[in-house]
Amino acid sequence: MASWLRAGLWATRAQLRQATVSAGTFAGVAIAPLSILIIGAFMLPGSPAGMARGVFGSTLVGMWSTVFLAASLDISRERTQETLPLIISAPVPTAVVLIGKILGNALVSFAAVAVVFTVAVLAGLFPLVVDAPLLVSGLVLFAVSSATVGLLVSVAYVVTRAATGLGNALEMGVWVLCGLLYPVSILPGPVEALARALPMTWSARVVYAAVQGAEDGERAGTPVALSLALAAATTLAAILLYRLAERRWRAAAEPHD
Amino acid sequence: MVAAIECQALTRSFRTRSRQGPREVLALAGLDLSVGPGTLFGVLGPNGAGKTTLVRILTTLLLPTSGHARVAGFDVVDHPNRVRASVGFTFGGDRGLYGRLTGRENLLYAGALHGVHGRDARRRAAELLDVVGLRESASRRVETYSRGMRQRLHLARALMHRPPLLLLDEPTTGLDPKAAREVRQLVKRIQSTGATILLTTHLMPEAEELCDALAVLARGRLLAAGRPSELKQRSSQPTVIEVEVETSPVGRDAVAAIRALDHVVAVEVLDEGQRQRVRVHSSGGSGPLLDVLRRLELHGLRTVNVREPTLEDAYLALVHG
Repeated sequence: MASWLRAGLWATRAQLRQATVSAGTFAGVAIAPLSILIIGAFMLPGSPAGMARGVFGSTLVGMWSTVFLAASLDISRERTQETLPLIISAPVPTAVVLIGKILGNALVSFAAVAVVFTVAVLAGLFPLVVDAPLLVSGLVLFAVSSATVGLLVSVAYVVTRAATGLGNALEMGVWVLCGLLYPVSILPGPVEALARALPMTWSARVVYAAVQGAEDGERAGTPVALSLALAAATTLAAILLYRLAERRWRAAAEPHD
Repeated sequence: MVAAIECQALTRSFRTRSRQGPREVLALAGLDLSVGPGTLFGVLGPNGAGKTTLVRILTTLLLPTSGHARVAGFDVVDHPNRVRASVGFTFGGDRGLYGRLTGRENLLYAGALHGVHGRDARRRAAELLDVVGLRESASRRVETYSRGMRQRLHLARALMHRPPLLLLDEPTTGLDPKAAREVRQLVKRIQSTGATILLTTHLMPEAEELCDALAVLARGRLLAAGRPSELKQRSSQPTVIEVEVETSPVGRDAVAAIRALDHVVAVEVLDEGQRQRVRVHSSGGSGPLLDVLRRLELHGLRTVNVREPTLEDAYLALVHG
């Protein structure tokens, strides 16, 4: 078990090294959230609730997109650069390595937090934070929740090349579903039910509970607990799926000479 | 003693789609193979012979459709993790490395995936970087490495967890002659440490130079196996005795006299300007050589060359009949 943990940590380290080698990575992390922040600033001027959504919504969008990048594009890249077989044929379970890898990108995702917060403060758009420790906890919880959903999504990318076609739908689907930019209560009934099954929906609520403009003023305990429970359940589901996927991968891999 | 690799009736088929509908392709068709510990074993075969499929099954990346494959006594289906711990592998080409990590980081990462950590991993990586001649480049990102350097790093990475079996899939493909020679020398050095190596290749001189034993595959079947010298002996190709003469033309009588000698299968006379080349095909090796020279000495002997059947002759005869 200690050996698995160390392998997972090495995967995190390798991912961080690769992600931070190029300034382009940070540009990629910053573009989507900054665009949303600017749109928010023009469309919702003077509204504290609106600006809370603009600043924190764009932060959460940036964080999720960065994590999703590790779970999708980076795994597709592992496939094309032929390093995926090394992970799959190692004695350490594939899920452990990919958890490490995705957590690496979850750490990189805090670059989105830094970029958006800096721009928001400089532009005088930063909303009033009523509970700073809760905000930090909410952001960490969101990064962890994103990593667990990313791990679940990554199964598809490991199993089939065709998963690359799902890219935007999965990335932006979470923007829409998890209440990053607006409360999930405005979603139609069945869609809202699906949103409530995702850990990011609850960790986003923790973030909004920490700033002025939270629409329902609920206590943070419930969303924290639900977010953690759903993240644990998602991780478990991903690990079980990986066990099935490994068998499928080995049974159905493409022919070679 | 447990065989390093043992395959029994190993079969792997793939379902492919074409315009005519789904089709079953047999990549390995009931392969029986045994490789003893410490052997450098070559697998030869044309494209589509099943070489890479065999390597992928032995690395646990693929499941066999039927039959068994065991590595160091462990079945690849029942004990994949024991097999993974016993095998190091490289696939040909310059992919399969993390370009944005340094050479040393690639090795440490590979070590971590196989349970080699901390000081042991750092010591092992340093030792291997020395062995493969990459100590000076260890801190450079791999994307700056040449193809030959990458291939040497592949070998080092495959050895990080000290596996008793190394699977090398066309390790010199695409390398320039100098880099290919360095890799071959490295493979020999690795074998001298007692490792078992299974190497697939298209290159006959490489197989002849490196391998203790060979298997020839075609369309997923084992056509022949044995030492390189045994395979050459099995070749139906005759020995060729070539004599260059320069003073007077070789007439019909001389050709008839040579053709009458024991073991001579055929005689050809090739005109090359002022010289002639007499090519004698012998089924008895170089046995008729002296008699051939006696019958040609009046014509002014210039050069004599005896060419035994090569591994390539044997291979071509086996694969293409």
